[in-house]
Amino acid sequence: MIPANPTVERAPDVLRVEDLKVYYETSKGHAKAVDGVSFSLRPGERLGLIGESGSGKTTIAMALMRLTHPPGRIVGGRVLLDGRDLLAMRERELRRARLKEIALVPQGAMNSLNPVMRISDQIIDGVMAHEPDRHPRMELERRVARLLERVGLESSVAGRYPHELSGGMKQRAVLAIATSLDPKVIIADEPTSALDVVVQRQVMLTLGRVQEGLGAAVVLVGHDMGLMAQFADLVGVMYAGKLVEVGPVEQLLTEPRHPYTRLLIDSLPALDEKRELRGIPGLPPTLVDMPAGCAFNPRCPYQHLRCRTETPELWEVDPHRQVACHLYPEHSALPAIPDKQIREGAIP
Amino acid sequence: MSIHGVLREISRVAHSPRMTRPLIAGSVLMLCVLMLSLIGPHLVNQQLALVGARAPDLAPSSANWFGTDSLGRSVLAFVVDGTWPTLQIGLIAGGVGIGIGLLLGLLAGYFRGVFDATVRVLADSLLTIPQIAILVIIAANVQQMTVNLLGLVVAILAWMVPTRTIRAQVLSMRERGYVEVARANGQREIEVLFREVLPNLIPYIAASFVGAVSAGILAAIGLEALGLGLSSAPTLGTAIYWAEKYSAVLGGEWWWWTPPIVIIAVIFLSLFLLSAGLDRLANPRIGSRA
Repeated sequence: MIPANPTVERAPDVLRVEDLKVYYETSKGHAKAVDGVSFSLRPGERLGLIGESGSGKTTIAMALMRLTHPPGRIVGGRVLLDGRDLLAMRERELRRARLKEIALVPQGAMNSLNPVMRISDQIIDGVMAHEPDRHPRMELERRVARLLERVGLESSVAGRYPHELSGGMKQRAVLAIATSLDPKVIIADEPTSALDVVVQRQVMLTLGRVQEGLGAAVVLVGHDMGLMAQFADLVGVMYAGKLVEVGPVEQLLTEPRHPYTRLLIDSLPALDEKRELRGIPGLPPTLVDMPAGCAFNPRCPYQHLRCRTETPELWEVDPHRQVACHLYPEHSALPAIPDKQIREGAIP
Repeated sequence: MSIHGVLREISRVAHSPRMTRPLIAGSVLMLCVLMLSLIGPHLVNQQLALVGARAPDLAPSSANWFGTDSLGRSVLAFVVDGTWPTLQIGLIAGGVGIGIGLLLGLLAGYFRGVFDATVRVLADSLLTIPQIAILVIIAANVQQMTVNLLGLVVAILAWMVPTRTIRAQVLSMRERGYVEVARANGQREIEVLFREVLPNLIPYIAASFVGAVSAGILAAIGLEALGLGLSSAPTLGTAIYWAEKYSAVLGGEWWWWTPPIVIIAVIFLSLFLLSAGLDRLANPRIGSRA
């Protein structure tokens, strides 16, 4: 899981996000949905972005495609795709980059297919937008069949309408469209949110298989820890528009460094031990009126004076492990939750 | 394809779950009206539609099936002659109205902004003014009214409702996931509009077209009944105008005014049924699931 393979290690970043900021204009001021997020991915790497609703995950996914709509606005930062800044591209260049270099597997396959078009035509539309020269019909049909096969669908699906397919088949068809031009980066925004767990796993395995075949980097956005654990190499934890912790998935799950990550993991039911489930007390802050200092400080059991005044920066505590918390570098691991906090009933 | 094949195809279509009863009934009625208007003139002696062709005010008899009017015209002959121009006016008005409405509705709904605001204000203002008042003024100032011209006059006010309904649909369509996906896949805005949005509108366009045709016919009949219709060709509306002018209702000449009214009623009924049925036909989500 840890990107230990030296050849992968040395490969240049295919996607590099630097200080990305996306704000929503509201009547109460700017809602800082994504506020200075940076990460980078090498070919073949899988990054999972996790966080609760409103933490900015989907906003990042849309900004990476430059599909942010008003009232949302990309305020700053760079999204470097093979060294070229997607956010600075001209419209024409951007259109060419979409699907061919960076492709979106959208949230909710149910609405992502045009209900009145056959699957084959929907795949061909994407291809034709990039290769407008005339293709013989036969060649296109063979290509569609190959793409469908790659995602585990029969080629007869090509002639069907979306309503004739099951949820899992639809999601596979969406995958076939997204991977039709062998993109270098795949952005998957909760691709399996509407599917049951069995189909979810199958679809994720398919996504993984196709991605490995292409050597593409994947950014998987979601809130399902289990899914992340199975799929991702690296996990980034989002809180209130910022990345608070990034690390290899196993290390992050077994030995979380950020208090929020720790509480998030504690709130999950475990199969092998029986214990009381704990929620995280309090609510995420409203994005227009953020607490001073660390955004998590009002809910944090480790909170001390500095947290209320100074915003912690994301920095590397160990190789591959980045955390934004004032506990480091003072501590080498996350200390036990102070008893006082639990006794005082901060946890309802 | 052999005749057998054609019959099998017709039977297949007729038994498809998308062929609903309203659609079949509407099509059959419309077919009858079309046959009457297109084949009828070849079967009926058209000379009988001229003034003074027969003795005036004759009740129906074996010689004159539908009797004659006060001007000595055979009612059968002028009803048969007048049906097609009436339909033609409706088709022109409906076609032009839908054409303008589609263009304005698509662009206004998809691109929004100043253009949308302008179109909306214009359409809304025109909708509040009684249409017949505007049409009367325009029609009264036309020197030589022809079928095509009357169709165009009616079309002047036939685009607002299609514009508003299509715009409303586009507003909802443009937010659908697949529209965003098409953008994410690098399709141009104009491609997205015509490849992704437009095909989803076909049921609404079909239903709106039928609606606009019937609104056009109704408006034209209104003008004709007021005497602002065609001087050159007979229509169903002009038939009502003459019947009213010669007090046919008070005079008890029911054979004069009943046939045009029945034909008009059948036209409206069939258009209504078609509009209801087309919505299902053009929608692949319905059907095949049965």
